[in-house]
Amino acid sequence: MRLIKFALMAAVSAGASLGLIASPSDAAAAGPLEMARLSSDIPTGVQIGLSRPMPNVTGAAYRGIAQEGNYERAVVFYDAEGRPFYTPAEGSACAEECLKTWRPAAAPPKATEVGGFKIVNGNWVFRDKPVYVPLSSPKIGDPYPFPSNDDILRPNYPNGLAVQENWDGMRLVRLAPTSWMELPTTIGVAEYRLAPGQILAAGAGGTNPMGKALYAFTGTPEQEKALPAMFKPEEAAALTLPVGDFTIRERPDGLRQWAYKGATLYTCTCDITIGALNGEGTAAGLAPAVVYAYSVPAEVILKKDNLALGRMVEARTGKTLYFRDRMQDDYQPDRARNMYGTVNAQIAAGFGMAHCSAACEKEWKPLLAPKDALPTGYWSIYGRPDGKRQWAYKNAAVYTFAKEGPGALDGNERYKIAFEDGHGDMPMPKEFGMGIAWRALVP
Amino acid sequence: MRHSIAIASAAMALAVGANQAQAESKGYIISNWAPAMNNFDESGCPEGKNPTIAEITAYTLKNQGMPADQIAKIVTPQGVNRQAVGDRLVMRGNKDGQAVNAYLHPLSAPDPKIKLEMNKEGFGFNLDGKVGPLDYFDPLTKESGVDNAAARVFGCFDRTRGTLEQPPGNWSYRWTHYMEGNSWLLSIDNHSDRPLDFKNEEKVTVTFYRGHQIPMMNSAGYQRDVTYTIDPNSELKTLTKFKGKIKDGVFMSERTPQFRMIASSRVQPVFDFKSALMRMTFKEDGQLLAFVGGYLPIKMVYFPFGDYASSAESAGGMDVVGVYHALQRNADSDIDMVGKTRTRISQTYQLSAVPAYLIEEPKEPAGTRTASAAGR
Repeated sequence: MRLIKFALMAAVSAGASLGLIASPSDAAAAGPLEMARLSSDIPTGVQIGLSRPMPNVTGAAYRGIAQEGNYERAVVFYDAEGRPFYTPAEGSACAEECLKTWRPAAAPPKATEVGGFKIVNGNWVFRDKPVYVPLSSPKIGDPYPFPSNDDILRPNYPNGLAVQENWDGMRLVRLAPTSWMELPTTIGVAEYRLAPGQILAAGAGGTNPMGKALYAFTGTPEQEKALPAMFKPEEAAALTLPVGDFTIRERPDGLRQWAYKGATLYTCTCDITIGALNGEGTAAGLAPAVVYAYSVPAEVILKKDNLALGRMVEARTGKTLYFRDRMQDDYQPDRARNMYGTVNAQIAAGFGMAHCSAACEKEWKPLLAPKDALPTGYWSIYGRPDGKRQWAYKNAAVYTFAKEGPGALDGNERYKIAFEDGHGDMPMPKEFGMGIAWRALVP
Repeated sequence: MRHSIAIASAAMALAVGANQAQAESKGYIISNWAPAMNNFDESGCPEGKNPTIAEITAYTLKNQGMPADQIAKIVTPQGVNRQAVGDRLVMRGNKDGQAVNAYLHPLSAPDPKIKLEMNKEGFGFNLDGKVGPLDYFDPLTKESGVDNAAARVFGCFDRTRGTLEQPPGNWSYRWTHYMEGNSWLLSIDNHSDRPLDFKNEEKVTVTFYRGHQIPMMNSAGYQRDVTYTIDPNSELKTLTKFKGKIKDGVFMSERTPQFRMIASSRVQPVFDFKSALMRMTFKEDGQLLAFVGGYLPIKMVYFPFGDYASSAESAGGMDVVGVYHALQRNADSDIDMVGKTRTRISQTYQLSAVPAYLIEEPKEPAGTRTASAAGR
């Protein structure tokens, strides 16, 4: 604070060059802010996972360790056990021979119909197509098969489970609103896990998968007039026509502005990094234009701060949530803009619940799940040896750090490196490579 | 003036309850951090540079008893047949008669005795107060007995050689990628209410921080006068200071028992200097040039190479196992009771920085917001 006070003095005495100043005025410096809690479009008992759909996946690739190549990544639906969802490519049902390889995806008891999912005879139907899971396939919770002679300790562990796109007359079910929405050419849909969910984004698609976040305004005309200048109307070109749920509003200033389901759309000049939602919470009536909301357990809150991707905290205490990660070259610090997130689900599955003993859990407290909780979205659950259940995000078991208070980041990047160095250290378990780090959990 | 008033207003809001002491602080973003090497020509490697992957593979296979004619089929003028090598390079360590991963057990593999760099001149500080046979003479300060043993270890590999103007290629690659997710910041504080005198100051503290935002760049490099938020992680706020004075335009620190900056596995998990010193000069355009030296754990210096494993040997052109042996052999501080050998090695880093504004992360606003269903 001494530094800030200098800034006051220096600003008053004109001419001094400031090294440290007070908070700038833009919205990005508003401080950690709780994101709005949305009702999820993903039913309980349905998971999602980052995946690499592949045309022909056999052998080693089938175990999720296919080479990186130029494969796309997609968010795919999985059942509570982690089996990928498929629907028949042609026809409407799977019978006889088909049922030797597939079974209907059963909905758990008390599941709700939401987000395009309906329940028919106790089984899931997605957008009017029956859903099946393969009897034998990679699962989203499968660990990466680290070999003991891991010759490249820092390999390119591709992020995303390799799964077959088309298989035996079935097609993988992706969470891809672009496949069922009619969209203007200049607007796409992108995954903004901070939202959390998939949102409308200007220019999203192709070589610009994230685009720029769009915000939907649903407030009063007075509130819209009072919107900060950093919000810019998303313009529709002169000859553009409405499409799907998108209409065009003729503004008093002469601009033509896109609207989605009646809510006018804006971008924010405050969003200067990929994945940012800095405009969230800065103006009444305005919020990210979420078209498919993700699940967040009641025990978790998402916080937006001036990190592009925000962070997750324990709802009860406000303490930062952490996970364990293998130290590796493609480590993306939580300040990075990795659009795929900072957790590699298959590496996290390799850690699972192991290697955090009772002594470890004196420092790192597990984030427990209620006994009736079900996996949903990116959140799954580990059964613990003590009979309790622990939340996991993308297979990464989630903890808080006992030695810090709410909102702190002191646990971030605590690490251990071990190899046989002649000074008493011994190599770590193979899934750790040469080192393990605790990292703040970023959406 | 409106800008200054806005700043003043915000500063007033944030200064409630602040310490009453006042100070002139200058902020900077570090635009470069690299080992301070002085390999301006080949004279420092009179016996030639160290082997690259072809030779490493050849002598490894030979050590494993493979006949010469077979090796000649695998290591050819056209390159190395990696498929034929299989995991022999990786598993060239040996423990209790079993092949083990040499990068995880570097001392279990034969020491290839890599060549050390033998220049007379190098950069850094005389950390131990002595003049030893492997010490350098610093051409900038004219100091003898300069301890920078790590520069000897890395100075005869193509990818880890460099100069002040052209840092090592391997390092530049890793640092560039590290900066894709981080920024390192620095402030200079004169503990006084008058402007900082870059020529002479009796009491100065230099503090390093990590920033939340990534560096803002333009075609000329790091942009000046950008605002960065300091990472609130308290672990990053301990052991990150140098105290000293500026005399005749040069900041020279006192001996600092420990200076530590957490980084990442991409460059080095932590830069942990013991018995550290810092020297800094100030350019007319506002930039800083500095050297930081001390004793670093050989484990940390080795980690990025060991972790990169066989890729460090093939793409990086260095015998990783040999590097660990050489770091161990040339370590010059901190004997441990287990291995009865030294655990730290002297190393000097160079840094440059451009002016920036640094701010603390604002506190959380009170209350929470209700859900919004906009767009759904």
